[in-house]
Amino acid sequence: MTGYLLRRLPSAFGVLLLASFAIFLVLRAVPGDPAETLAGSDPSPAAVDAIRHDLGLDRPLLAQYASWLGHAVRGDFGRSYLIGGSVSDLLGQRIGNTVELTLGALVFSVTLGLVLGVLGATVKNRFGQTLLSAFNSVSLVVPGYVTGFVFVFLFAVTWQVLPAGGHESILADPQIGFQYVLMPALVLALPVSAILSRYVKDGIEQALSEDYARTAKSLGVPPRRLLWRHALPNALPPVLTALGMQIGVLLGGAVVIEAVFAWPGLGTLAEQAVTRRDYPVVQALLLFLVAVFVVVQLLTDIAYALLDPRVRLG
Amino acid sequence: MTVSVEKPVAPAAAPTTTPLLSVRGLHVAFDSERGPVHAVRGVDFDLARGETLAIVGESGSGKSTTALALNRMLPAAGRITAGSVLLDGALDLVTASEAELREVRGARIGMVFQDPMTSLNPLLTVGRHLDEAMRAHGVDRRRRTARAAELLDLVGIAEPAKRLHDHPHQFSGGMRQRVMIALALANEPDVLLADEPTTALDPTVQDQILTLVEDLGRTLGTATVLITHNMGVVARSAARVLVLYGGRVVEQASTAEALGTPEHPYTIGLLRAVPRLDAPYGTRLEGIPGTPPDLAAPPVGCAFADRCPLAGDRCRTEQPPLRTLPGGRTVACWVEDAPAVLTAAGSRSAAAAKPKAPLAEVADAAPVLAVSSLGKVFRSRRNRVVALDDVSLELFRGETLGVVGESGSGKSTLVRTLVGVHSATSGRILFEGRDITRPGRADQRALRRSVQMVFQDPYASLNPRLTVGAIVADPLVSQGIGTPAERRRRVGELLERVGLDASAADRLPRDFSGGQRQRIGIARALAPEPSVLICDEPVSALDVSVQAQVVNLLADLQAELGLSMVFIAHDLAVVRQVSHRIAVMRAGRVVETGPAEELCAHPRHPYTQALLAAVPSPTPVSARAAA
Repeated sequence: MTGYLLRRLPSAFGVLLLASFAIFLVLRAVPGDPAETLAGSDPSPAAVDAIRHDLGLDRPLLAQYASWLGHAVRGDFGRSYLIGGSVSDLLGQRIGNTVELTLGALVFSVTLGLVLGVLGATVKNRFGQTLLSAFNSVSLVVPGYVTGFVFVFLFAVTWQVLPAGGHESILADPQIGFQYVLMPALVLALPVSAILSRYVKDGIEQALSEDYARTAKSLGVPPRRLLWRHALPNALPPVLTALGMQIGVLLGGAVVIEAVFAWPGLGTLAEQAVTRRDYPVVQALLLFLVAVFVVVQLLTDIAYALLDPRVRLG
Repeated sequence: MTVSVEKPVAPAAAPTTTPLLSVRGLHVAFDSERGPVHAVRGVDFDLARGETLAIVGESGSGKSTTALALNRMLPAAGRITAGSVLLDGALDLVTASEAELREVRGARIGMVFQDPMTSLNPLLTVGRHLDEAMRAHGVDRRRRTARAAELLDLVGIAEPAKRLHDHPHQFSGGMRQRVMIALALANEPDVLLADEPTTALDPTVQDQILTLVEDLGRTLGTATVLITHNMGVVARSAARVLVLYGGRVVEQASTAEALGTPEHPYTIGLLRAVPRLDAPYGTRLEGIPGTPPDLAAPPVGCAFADRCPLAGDRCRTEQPPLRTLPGGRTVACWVEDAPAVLTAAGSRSAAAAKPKAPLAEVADAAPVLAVSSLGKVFRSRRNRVVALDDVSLELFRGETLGVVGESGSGKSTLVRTLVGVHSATSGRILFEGRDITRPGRADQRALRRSVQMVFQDPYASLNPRLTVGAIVADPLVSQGIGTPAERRRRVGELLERVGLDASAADRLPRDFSGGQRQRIGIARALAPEPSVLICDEPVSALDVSVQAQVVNLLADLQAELGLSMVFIAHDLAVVRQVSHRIAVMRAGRVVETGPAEELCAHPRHPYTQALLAAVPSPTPVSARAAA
């Protein structure tokens, strides 16, 4: 297992390094000049050059990249051009909130996905099946901002059981924090849970039709145990793959949902930084997203290896 | 080899009033698009304690369905429509509740399935498998742990305590089948249902597994129902035989009687179709013409009537009942002296049969294909596998070279290297005197025309979306041979040559049976008029009655067209039947080459001897007849 991990790590770092370079180049290729933006209206060329020199933007691209990367690995992502202050501080304030929302959504989507998937594979009567597939279709196709407004209308306006928006740290006060995160996380989770439940259902049905399920049945293994201990573990690998990719959907969706629920996360920051060419902020944000993705992929691979002994050999 | 036997075991010979298992009027139907398919249509039999009963029949005869129906393990589309399965004369498994069945499965009736590669859960250790089996029947944890190792030891797995922690992929096929047997016997059931337990295994491994099942049956007093299509396995392991055809029992007798003096025309035909290592060399196989009945619309009369040489009007209109003959054997046939009538007919056809094409001018001709010191090494990140090691072979014009060997012996690698799928690591391949080890573009084109292949799986090797005509014409089209009209004419010719109607060209592969599909595959291979035909296990997926037809077809084609053939198979009797010379492969090397008859009669290499000894002969052992 350790050997497997050691084989996987170098490529994870490789991906991260390549991504950082790509991010750096792509941002520079986007039209717009932060120096001109900063210099205000109708600046003298000299003033713009001075600002450019100040920001180090007149140095060769590779040199800029090298110095940025050098600082980044030490946790220093530079200073924001516009808002001021260190990028690390700026992101630090927001990241926690977005991570909280995404993790909440992750928990909901996995739980819902498993429950709905197992139900889908085991409920045999037609009415139950129709109900489940209707729920999944609706969850999948209705956009988050629509579900969000419906939820706000129902739970916050009509019944007044949950706050309509805003944020309280779940760490500071779990009970209050939970009330704030419940609705946005659920709204974010619904489409993902619909996709996951599909994978769970298909995986279980597939596993139950395999020869080894027949073997277990022929030995008198009770149906419930057959489902949970024999079929479900075999159904999980594809679910994990799907989950790994859906993390991206959750992070992307968070930007929209944060707006609906006035959630102070990365979403609003990203929007400001991109429109104003605040390179250091955008770079750090993108690098953070890539890092999350790389880590998630690594975790997926590790989970695969834990689940399936055959993978550890490969 | 110690095992605690808790249940009192009745001696096999003791006259028990009620049979252990009593099956009466069992009917099973499967739902299909075309309505119910009546796979089992009234099967009756009794199983005594400690007895070994073989159920034989070809695909579609209903033998596996019968086995699965006994403890209601049918797939979702199947259901028992009538009949009873009495366990101990008391509990009817057909009407038993799910909870009652769960108590029976594993504890009273254990099952072993055909494919050991897929029958074990890849994510569970072998120890967990055994643990689950015992846990399902309330064995407490401490005893489970102790007994798991005991069970592995019982089925002959070395270092049992250590291997409990291994996963199925760490075991070979034969070892996995041992694990399956350990699982099935974990709760000391009274009945072991073994559904083709050795079909997926090599002959030497099959021999070990059958010995194991026999020994354990004796030690534990387990009654065994052995489902198989292999008459050799029956002769070796079973005391009594049930022959199924079209979902009904056509004959029931002791093994000695059924194999020695079969009564039913189907049993007689089946036995004649089996290639034998002890048959006079050059004897032509006799297949059973026709195809099994369509059980979605089962025949009113005898299911075998359409293929039976003795069938009269009554056979087509009335179902023959099971007649009891002296000695207790039963047969369902209207013709009372079928064997005598058939023997007369049989001797006539044997006289008319052509012997194997004689080999002409071998000595002076240069070989068509010559392989010298061929080597192939596969490398991966961690290991290096020598698949072919110093292989030298020659194939002469009009000759069939049989290549036998067990899985992993390098047979398939040899073929693939010959046709250029793999490139050789070392050595040389000469085709008609030209070095084609690393063929140039022109050589490759010539080769594709002159060397054709017939594949193992007639279901997977034909594109289901193309018409038969398009499939057969495919090599002509891709090599730019002929005009469309010429190709059409050629396709018609080829289809007739392989025994199909020319009108087959407009239909799709799914309209044809396995044997017919293999004929289509052969027609396709013959299309560009090759001089060498390479057949990779061409009959392994076919039933014996069909296998005989295809083997005969290949022999005829060779005689008519002067083809050179490489015939690869794991079944020595079949290889002996078609080949002039045989090469025996083991671990990438050719260990022995020689004329087919001589090699089988006087094998020199110990491995060839072991291989021959491991093939069970379909002749009843006289000693067993007394038992």
